[in-house]
Amino acid sequence: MNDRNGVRSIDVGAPPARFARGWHCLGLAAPFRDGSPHAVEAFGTKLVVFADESGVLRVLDGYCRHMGGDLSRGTIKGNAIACPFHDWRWGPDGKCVKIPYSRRVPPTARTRAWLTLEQNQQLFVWNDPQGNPPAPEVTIPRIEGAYSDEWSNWTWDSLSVDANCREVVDNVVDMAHFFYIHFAFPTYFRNVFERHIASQYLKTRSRPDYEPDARPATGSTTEIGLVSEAAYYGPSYMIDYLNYDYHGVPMDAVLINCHYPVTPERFILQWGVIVKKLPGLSPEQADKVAAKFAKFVGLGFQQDVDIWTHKTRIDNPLLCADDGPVYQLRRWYEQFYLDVEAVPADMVARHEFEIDTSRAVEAWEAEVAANIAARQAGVSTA
Amino acid sequence: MTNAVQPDWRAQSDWQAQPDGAARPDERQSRYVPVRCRECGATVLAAKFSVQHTSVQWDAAAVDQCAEFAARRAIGEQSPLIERCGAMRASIETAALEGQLPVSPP
Repeated sequence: MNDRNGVRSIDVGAPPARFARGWHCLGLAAPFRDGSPHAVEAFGTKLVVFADESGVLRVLDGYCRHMGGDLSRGTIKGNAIACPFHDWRWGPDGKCVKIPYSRRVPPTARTRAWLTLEQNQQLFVWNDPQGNPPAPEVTIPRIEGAYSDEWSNWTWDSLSVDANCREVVDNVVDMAHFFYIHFAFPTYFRNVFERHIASQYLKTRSRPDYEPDARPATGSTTEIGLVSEAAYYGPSYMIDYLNYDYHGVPMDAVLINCHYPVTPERFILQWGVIVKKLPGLSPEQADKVAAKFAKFVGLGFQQDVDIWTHKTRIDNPLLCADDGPVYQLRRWYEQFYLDVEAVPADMVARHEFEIDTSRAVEAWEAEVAANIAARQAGVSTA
Repeated sequence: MTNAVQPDWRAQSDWQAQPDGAARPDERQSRYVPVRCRECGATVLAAKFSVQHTSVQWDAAAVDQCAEFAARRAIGEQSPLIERCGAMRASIETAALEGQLPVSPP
């Protein structure tokens, strides 16, 4: 990987030619039930999402097989979506059920219907280039807080990112970027990959030299701790169970970090937060706490996006001893791009990797102390 | 090097001929050695870059054999969501202390 002069080269590789097999979250379910069809650009095409008469959300290919009309600009008529071009009616199973101006429907009039799932008040579609249904064990798990009055409502945000979605998945193993990009201070970092699940166990301290709303740092040494247990269930949906210090009170939160591909070089990144209501908080106040946390998460993602949209794809990262298991993660991730029969046992076998954070903590403590000293010097001379 | 088992996932050591963007092996040379759990006998491959760092490769047989995972599966947990097996961790730390598992920076 180094040339004659000893210079390391970058292998940029190429994004995969297909889209990952797995459940992909399209967003909160409720906004899709407003009586109108919705367009979602995903998996290299356009999808239409609409609610049938019983309120079940249905997803079909968005382009009418007749003359290519955009079904998402059509109308829901009964259980079918009607094309705005010639009123062809497409049912929830993808079959054309009616062409009002014709005496019969051609027997080949069938479009692609996507398998859907509603879980945690979110809508999911199943993508499988082989066309198989999902195995039951890869389903999206239930989050109890999403069904409890003791928790806030979901916040929900999204960003379009011009990069291949492997960039966001790489974050699972990237301990050091939490310090440089997210202004956190990791002290414990461990990954476990097994079957379709990739977990990250993280503990961080706050950064007394940095406050997210850009107020001047006070130099306070209060160490606001955060404990995070996050896992990808399949290629694109991460549930992150968090406990953090909120004005001296431990706060439980759940963060969803998910995405779906638009093209091999673009994805939609989405995130949502619920928090457990503290005693004495009204539902509105709990929603505000969730919104505040989601805003903080969003600032972090915006900084990620700035990195991703300027960096190069790199298939041969040069790692130091204190980096995480990037290659092992990518090997785990590759399972979703192979035919299911072609996934080797060792690709999904359990791998554990715990980073030694001692050197990083030592270096970062010195950096934080220097930042605070510089601020204080600046303040005292102002 | 040690007499460690060399499974397929480590066997590819060159940078060439990775088909179709296939995942590459970790370039950091880890000295993986087999460690047998002192509780249940499950055997994994372990490596340490430093005293605190640990990398552990299980195979399906070891996951099935692990007594702690089995006990937690019995109460409805899934092994991918279990952070670690305490007995295996203790066995790995003991192997490192006793010199059977080398602490070797990449």
